[in-house]
Amino acid sequence: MVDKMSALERILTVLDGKIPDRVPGFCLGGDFDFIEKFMNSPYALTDEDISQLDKDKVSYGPPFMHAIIAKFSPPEILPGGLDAKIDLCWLTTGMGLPIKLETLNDYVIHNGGYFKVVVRDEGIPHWWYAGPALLKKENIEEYWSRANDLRPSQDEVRNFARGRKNMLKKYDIVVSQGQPGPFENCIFGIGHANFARLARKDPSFLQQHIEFQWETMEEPMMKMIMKTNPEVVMCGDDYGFNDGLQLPPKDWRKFIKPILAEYVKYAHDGGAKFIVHSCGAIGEIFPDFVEIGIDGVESLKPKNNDLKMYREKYPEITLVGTIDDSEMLKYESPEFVRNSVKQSIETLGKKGGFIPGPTNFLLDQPAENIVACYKAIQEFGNY
Amino acid sequence: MSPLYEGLPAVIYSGLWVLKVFRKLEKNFPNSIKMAILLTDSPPAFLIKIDKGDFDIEILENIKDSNDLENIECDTYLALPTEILYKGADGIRKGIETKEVKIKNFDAITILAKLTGVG
Repeated sequence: MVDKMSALERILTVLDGKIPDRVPGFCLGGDFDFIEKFMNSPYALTDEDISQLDKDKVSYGPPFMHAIIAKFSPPEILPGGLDAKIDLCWLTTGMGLPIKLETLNDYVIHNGGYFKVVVRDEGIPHWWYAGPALLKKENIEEYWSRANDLRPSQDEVRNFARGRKNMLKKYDIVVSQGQPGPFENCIFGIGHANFARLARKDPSFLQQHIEFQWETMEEPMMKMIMKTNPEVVMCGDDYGFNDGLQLPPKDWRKFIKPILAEYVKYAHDGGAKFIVHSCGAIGEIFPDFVEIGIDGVESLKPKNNDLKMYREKYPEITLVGTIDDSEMLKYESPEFVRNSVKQSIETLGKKGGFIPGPTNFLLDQPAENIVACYKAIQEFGNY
Repeated sequence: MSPLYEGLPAVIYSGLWVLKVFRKLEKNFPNSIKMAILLTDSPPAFLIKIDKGDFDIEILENIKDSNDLENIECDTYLALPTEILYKGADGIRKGIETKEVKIKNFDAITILAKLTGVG
């Protein structure tokens, strides 16, 4: 099958609310576990693939694993490609090196949280956020005093922009450029309990903290990102648990929504589309996403979200993700995955507005299922 | 279940793991290398061994002071506080000038940058 549009035309057409040549595919990225599984599968990168990917300066590391995403290319782009094209992926900033806070006598990452790197018994590394560090007001105030150490680096953004442009030029894959959102930055630093307590008892202090992070890290980062002219911006900001929001909607509207609206404005003013990645059940704030002009919402695990209702009630918003990564892609057969993707396209993608892919970073799903997912998007995605 | 490695040994291991999985370890390190690293505020030291496209990390339980590094059989070593490590290559170079960083063979900085910058 010969595509009539480039990946960029296809993605922008969908995010514009129009119908492209076919349904595009999306991949957020993958962790060490998935890389291990993929590289031990029949689909693994060959020496010839690696030679071309090296020549094209494609990055390999998790969690964005652009080299593995490029492996899904059609053979005319990568001779050993799997012909299960992914059109959109992600690259988000990490925001600098840890800083030591004297009131904690410990190192924290940019948002004030702990980050842990471990290697498990079976020899596979794992990197993840490990909990909030700014549990007392004195910790938060010391964190504020370190503004100069928290400002983002233009070098990182420039490097990312080079990688993004390379992926588009060499592999026809749109890389959405991002940074963490205001809720994650806040909650990863101070924790849910503190957020709830401050929202109730000391809202001006909480507001001050959220504004500090916006002015010190998030707004400068948005400016730097937009200087590199991205086509799509996607920020990661998980608002949901499996059965509802992590915070009362009124608190989200009061503290988070105004900052998120600024993210969207920066992206739109710079000519980019804006997608928010948010795990969990987030239906309560979908009307707010429409109000602040968000173009796409990513993740949308089908068990936690009424996707059919979103499609009908909020046609302005493109649904990104939606293919259940934690149960279906992990435990079912490739044939089951194929049928499920077909069903999703029929239900959610008839009139555009749909960029399917696994709901989150790939972890320990069998490589066969992931290949089946993207093959099915190709097979059933024609308009 | 306790992890095999945590902290800096785990970060270095991650970089080596990515290079090995994508068959780039030998290309990046064609000659065998033994490098010891001691975070002086977070001992003990650990030894990175790279040879013929494979690697190993050994925790050196008895090496807790930078003077002890002299007794290790290695091509290169680096002893430094965490604070300087987090300042990157420039911070390490300044730390060498101010004697806050102890180094044997300046290759240590390049190797460290290669392993922590795998992307």
